Amino acid sequence: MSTPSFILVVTVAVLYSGGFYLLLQRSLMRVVFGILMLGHAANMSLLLTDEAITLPPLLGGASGEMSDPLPHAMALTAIVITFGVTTFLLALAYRVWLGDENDEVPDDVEDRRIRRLTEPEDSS
Amino acid sequence: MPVNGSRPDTPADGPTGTGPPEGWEAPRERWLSTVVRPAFGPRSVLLEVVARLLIPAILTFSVFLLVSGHDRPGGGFAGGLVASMAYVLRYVAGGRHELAAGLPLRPNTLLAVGMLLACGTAGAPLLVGAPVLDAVQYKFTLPVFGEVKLLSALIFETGVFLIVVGLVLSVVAALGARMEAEEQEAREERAGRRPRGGATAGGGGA
Amino acid sequence: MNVLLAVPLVVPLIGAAVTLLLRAAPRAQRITSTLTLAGVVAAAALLVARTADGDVVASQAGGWAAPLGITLVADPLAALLVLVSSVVLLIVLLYAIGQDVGGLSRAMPQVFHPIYLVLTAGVCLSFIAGDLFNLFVGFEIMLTASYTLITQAPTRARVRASMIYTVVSLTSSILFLTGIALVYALTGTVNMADIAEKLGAAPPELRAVLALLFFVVFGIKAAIVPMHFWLPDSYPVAITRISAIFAALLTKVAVYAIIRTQTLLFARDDISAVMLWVAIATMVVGILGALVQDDVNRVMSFALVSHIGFMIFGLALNTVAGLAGVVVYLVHHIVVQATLFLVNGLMRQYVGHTSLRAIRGLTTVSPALALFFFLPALSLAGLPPMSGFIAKVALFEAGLAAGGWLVYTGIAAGVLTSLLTMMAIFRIWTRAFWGTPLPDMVEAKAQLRRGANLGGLRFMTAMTGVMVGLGLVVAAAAGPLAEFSFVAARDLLDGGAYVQAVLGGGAP
Repeated sequence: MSTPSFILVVTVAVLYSGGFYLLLQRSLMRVVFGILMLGHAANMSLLLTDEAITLPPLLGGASGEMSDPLPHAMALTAIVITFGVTTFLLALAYRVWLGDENDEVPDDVEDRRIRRLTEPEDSS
Repeated sequence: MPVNGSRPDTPADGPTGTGPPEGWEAPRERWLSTVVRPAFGPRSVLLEVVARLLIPAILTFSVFLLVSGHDRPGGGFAGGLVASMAYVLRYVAGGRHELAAGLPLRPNTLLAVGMLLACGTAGAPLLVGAPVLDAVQYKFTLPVFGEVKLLSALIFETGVFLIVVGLVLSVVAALGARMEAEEQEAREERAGRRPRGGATAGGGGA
Repeated sequence: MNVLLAVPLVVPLIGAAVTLLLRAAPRAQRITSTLTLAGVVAAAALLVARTADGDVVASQAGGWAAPLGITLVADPLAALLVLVSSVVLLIVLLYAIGQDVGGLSRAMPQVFHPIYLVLTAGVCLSFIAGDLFNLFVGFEIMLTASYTLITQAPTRARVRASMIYTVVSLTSSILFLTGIALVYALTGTVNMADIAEKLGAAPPELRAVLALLFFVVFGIKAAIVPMHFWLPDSYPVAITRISAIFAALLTKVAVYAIIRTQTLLFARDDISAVMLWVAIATMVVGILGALVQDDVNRVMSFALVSHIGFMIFGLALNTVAGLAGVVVYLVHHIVVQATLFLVNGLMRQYVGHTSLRAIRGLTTVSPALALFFFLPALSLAGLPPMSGFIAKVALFEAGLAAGGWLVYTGIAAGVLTSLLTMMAIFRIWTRAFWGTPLPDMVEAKAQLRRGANLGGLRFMTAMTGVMVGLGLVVAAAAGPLAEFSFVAARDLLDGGAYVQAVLGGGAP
């Protein structure tokens, strides 16, 4: 069989890089989108493991050849998990937004406190 | 039934007088089972009629997916998703109360029953010394259907089906209806400049 | 043996369903979860008895033979960890029940019980999963439950903390999935025993990269140093029972996964130098963080990070003695860390907070609390009669036997870390426990006395006492534990028994 299509490989690469880029943003909404994209990337790379991915699994095509069903099963499970967690993440992001009217990740309070320890004590 | 679909906080689109009046697409007949207050925007006759017609078909199809799942595409997960889509459609068309009216059990109970079924079937073989998830199958002939194959895995799949429906419905309940109420609450709180005690799980009536 | 392996997984899930149905009946809920966890403890004890002489127990779910089906495996290490975890889970559950009965918590018990049991199932599945993908599923069950648990009694701080925790964990889960995809592409299987056989033929560079990827994946979850930042931000914010369980178990599950993958799957020398460096960094950076904190819970969280380093150190030695030390350390650390967080919870009950700036003279307020803090804290620092001492000595001895300048550096870092841990602990001790109590603390205690909560509080204290006692038992049972740990370590390093049990036996 042919190797996985070039387009699939490029898609996975774009999804990973875009996902990590979004993950590093300050807005929680973008972080959630980043996680979503990364989830898709991981699922698609699961599908990339099979060379005959264009064929149907289990039942086979006209020639009786079939693709490996295991990556499909694993991707399905992973999709279920990502689905559940994403809804939870959305609810959380919403909660954060509800409390603060913005969804930016704030500076860590404790970090700020420790940074203050290193500054000369003229303000206190 | 009088036109009561327009919600007070629906933003007015465009200058008044140019467009059709608010609530013009609300149906005059009763298509759904409760007093309808859609989740988004004003009532729409199209949506309600389509929901009324499609929901039974979708639910039937979901059961078909469930039972055909053993050796053809389908199964509890796919069936559950399709069934929950029917309920989501109902929620979108008719709002929170409409959703509640269509449910025999509360989402959490559905989840629990599903988990009991699934784990019970998974664990039952242990009692007779077989490994977890072991399946039994019976074949018999029914008058109309011909030969029928009944698998213990079907019970497991039914459990999965119920879990999925329960999960999606609790998501709809948590992300849809309750959030609306909470948002309202938070907005009032901010407007009133009361000291914030943290946005705790409140919820309740919308 | 099928039953024994399946009980820790299936029974908690059934219990979770039942408690979910029983939301309206808190008493029945409490009884159900207690019985469920007691059942898991019993099954785990039997498992430990079965594996005590180095046997590996395997069971194929659904009767599908090994490389294809879902395999559940318990080697001595997994069995021991299931036992210790379930005992700790049971005690913390009783502590939580005491808190709920006394009306001392704002958590919603009807939500807490089902999710807690799901967490139990996830932890147990992670320990006994025989294939990489089930390990992933076990992790996800555990983590999904933990995402929800960390927002129990939601405040803004908890929602924030949960957001950080969830995003970081999810990122590592996605990397995990990527790793599984790569391993599957390389070997065509996800069964760990099968991978162990097939990875040997793979190019060593590729193997090293995969080993590193899995090290990073589980390293994020175990909070080893370059990836530790999320832990002190999220664990201390959750309510006591949750942070106790998280601190005790979740990081250890990740450490277990590191041990399992690095010993069974990958050629052992590939990344052991990297692991040593990471271990040293983890020990030192973690404990330095603990020294500058003002909140007892945060001090403990940083100490937790630092002591993960000891386990990585033992693993990196890659000898039987080193791994045996890690096994002892795991058991010791699970118990001690849970105890310390429970004590912090009691502190919060008495004083209302855990900030060192506004606590004085806890010894006067509650002598029992002082004792319960002192014993596990000494154990954490590794003072002689306690279990921490035994675990550390085992690790250092293994290190001396292994030799090499990097290893000696690691031992030096370990000794330094122990001393600094002692310093952090004495800092808490002198600030919070000595002196005369602040007036508002006396007031708070009087108020606690006036409320009709005493029964619940006593029960919580008693459970903390049981946990302290468990720590002492670990120290007292050091002989058999060490013996068992050597059996476990030999199985880990050899790997043959594991592969044989999974692939050779087939479906029983």
